[in-house]
Amino acid sequence: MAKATTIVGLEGEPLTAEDIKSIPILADAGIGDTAGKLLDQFVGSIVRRRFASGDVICHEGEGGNTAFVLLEGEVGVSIARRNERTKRGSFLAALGSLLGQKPVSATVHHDPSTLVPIDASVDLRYGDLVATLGPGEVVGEMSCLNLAPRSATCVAKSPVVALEMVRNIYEKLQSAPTFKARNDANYRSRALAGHLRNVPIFEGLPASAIDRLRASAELHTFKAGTPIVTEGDAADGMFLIRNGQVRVSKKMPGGELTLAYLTRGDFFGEIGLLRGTTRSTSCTAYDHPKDESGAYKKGTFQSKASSAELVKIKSAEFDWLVKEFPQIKARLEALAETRARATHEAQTQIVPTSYPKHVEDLGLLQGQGLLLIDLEKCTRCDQCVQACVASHDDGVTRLVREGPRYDKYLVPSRCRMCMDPLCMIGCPVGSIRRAPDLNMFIEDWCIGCGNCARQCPYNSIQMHDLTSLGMQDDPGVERAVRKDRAVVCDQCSTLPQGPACVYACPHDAAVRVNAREFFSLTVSASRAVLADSPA
Amino acid sequence: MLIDRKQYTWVAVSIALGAGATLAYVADATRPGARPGGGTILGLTLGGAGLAIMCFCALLSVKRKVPHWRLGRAQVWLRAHVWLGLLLALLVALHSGFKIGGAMTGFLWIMTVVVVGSGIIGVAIQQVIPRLLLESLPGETVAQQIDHQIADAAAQARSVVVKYAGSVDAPAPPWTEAAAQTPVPTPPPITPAAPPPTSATGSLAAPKSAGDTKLATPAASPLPAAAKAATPSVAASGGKPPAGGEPLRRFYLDAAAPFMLRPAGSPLLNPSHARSMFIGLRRVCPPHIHPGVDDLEALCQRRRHLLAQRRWMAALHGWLILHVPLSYLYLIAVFAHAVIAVRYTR
Repeated sequence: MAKATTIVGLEGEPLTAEDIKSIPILADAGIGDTAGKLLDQFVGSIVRRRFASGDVICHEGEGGNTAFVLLEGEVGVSIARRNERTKRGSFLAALGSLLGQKPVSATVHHDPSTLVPIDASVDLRYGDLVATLGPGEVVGEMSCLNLAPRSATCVAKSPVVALEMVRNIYEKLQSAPTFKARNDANYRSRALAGHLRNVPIFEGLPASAIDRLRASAELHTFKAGTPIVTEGDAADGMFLIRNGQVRVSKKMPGGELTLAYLTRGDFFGEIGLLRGTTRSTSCTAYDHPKDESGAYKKGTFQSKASSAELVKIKSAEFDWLVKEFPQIKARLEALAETRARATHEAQTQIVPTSYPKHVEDLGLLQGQGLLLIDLEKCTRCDQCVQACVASHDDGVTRLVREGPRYDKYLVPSRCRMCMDPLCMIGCPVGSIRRAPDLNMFIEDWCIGCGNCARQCPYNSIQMHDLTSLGMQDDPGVERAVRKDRAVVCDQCSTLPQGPACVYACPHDAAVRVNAREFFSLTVSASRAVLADSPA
Repeated sequence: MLIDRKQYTWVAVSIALGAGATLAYVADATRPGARPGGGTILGLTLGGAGLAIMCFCALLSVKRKVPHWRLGRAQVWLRAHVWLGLLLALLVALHSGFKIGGAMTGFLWIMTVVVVGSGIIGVAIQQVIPRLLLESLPGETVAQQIDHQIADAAAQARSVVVKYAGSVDAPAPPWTEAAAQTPVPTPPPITPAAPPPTSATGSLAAPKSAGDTKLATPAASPLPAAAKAATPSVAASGGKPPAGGEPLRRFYLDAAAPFMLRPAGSPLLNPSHARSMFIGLRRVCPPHIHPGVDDLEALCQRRRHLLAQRRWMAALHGWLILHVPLSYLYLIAVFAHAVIAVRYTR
């Protein structure tokens, strides 16, 4: 037998193999023997912890690598929502505010019923960011598996007994069918109805219809890399993503074109059902990029290959919905039209032309909204950066005037609106999103894990200290303070005049272009196009 | 602001306004018994127009404080500022009837010349220096980063020398004594045929072609890859620096380190002279030290570029130190002139 070594040292009462057999949730899961062997090797990797009422079990934003399984008591789980900055400083800013020249808010306000995904078996409502968990439920799964910061603060509402465990133990527990079944049952009873209501096309459905869908929905898990639907297959249901990422792609000459990455709360598969056609795209449980040897590419998000957990609404239920609720059919048709158009546009952007090699090397072709600075015109006055700062209420620039050069153009570090937005891969709470107009934005429930910033190949996402942003938590609510927050260029999408950096450039040096159109011309022709563009 | 075809509209507007004002002036001035000047109806009109243009031009700096306000695109503001500012000089001349007048109006004349002249100089500078920066400084950084980059280049230079020649502070270790007898290289005569230095990576060396310039990335310079190459460096030789690094160490202490700290007066400030010095250094260093020489040369070049960038940036923006405050002073003086003229004249 291997020599036992205390390598974990969690606070609390270490469990032995015998203890595990006496705890129903673990014994029922049938992991007593395997966990027992692990415990022989890694003493202290699962502990029993007791919390008095009011004790904080974990703080939002803190690092963590353990999961908690609740045995007794109730736990209040909540997240802080950042308000806008309360101080904007200058007289001119105050005057501008009075005149309606409000800066772009870093906080996107949602409908109070919008669900905010957290690292627990429930989701929170945007309007009431508090929920209660009870025995048998799990908190901290994402931190345990992916080392993501805690997405919520958990406070004991009554005396609580919980098991805290590290990843190798939790993985054993997770793979036990009974534990999975219990989790699924919890999800179906507590969270599924909310997820269904949160799907935009189901908005306004009566409770009875939601209940019918909830009862009939199937819960599926797909391992990373597994096809969920394949282009050309018959459509037999639509899917709602409960956890994980899904890549949507379409076959093209020469390979597959990635159309989108979908994440928790997104849905797909409705077009084939609605039109009675075969699948128009393929959807795959997404895995992180690997090299030829199968290892994760250096610099990409390092985590265990994850799976995608999906809710499937079968075609019979879908047909019933469409028949009973005409408004849903109308929404679906509008959505199908939008998605078909987006797919067509993505396909037509594959211009069969050759680009200068440097353009490809610098990844410029990814840019659907690429900012270029003409260095012949630019006087380095920094107005673009100052405009970016002034036009956002958090006072943080999204534009760093450094980056690679192509010809006379500087490609600054700023979101390029990539065709293949790698930044969206690996967000544990689905807070980085893409708007219909292709802009990227970050929801205010970002937990500051930094995955998006690490994933972005062009250093276009920065992590900023929240305290330096002057953000405040909801007044009167006791919350932990998150330390960092991701900041990405939102293309000033709410400003009618477009990106502030371009608008404020007095020298006509900053331009925003679609890289594929811009670089398909020769550089000299591009210059001519810019020169002829209206002022 | 680069003068290009997009300026045509405002050029035409200014020329049209200027021509109209001139024709009116000529018509007014050629009337029998006319005494053109600021006191006539036309003179007052031209003066008022000039004052309005001054106020508009001054508003540009307010507009810059609120770049996201929907007050019109900044480039339109700047074009109008430049071309109407030029028109202003003509309006002032017509308003005054081409006479200097008294002390106050004489002062205003001087201010007109200085303010409009400094603006013309500024526009002229903007036609030249951005192109110079683009073509000559592929490693250009943002102005606020220059001090940091200088410190970074100095630290990297020190690291390179430590790697190839041991500590730069302590006396030369015994295994380099023989090399220490080697004289410090003196610059050989500059010959046109001297080959340009090449870096192992090209990342820090002077661009060898226009293509290199186009692809250069102005990020903070990492330690050149040559320093990591399979040379018998400190790490590879069990903690001891490779033999033969003493000339590099002495060159660093005598020339490169002072240059990194204070370039003024250093022979390394001159690119041709620096190239010659490094060619001489390579001659006295064994081949396995050459990558270190290459790296040091690239870092010295980076230091030169940072110095040049700082100077050019000062020139690019320095004229504003004169133009902006004097413009405000001019505006105040013009207001005073207008009040005095309207209140006390006649």
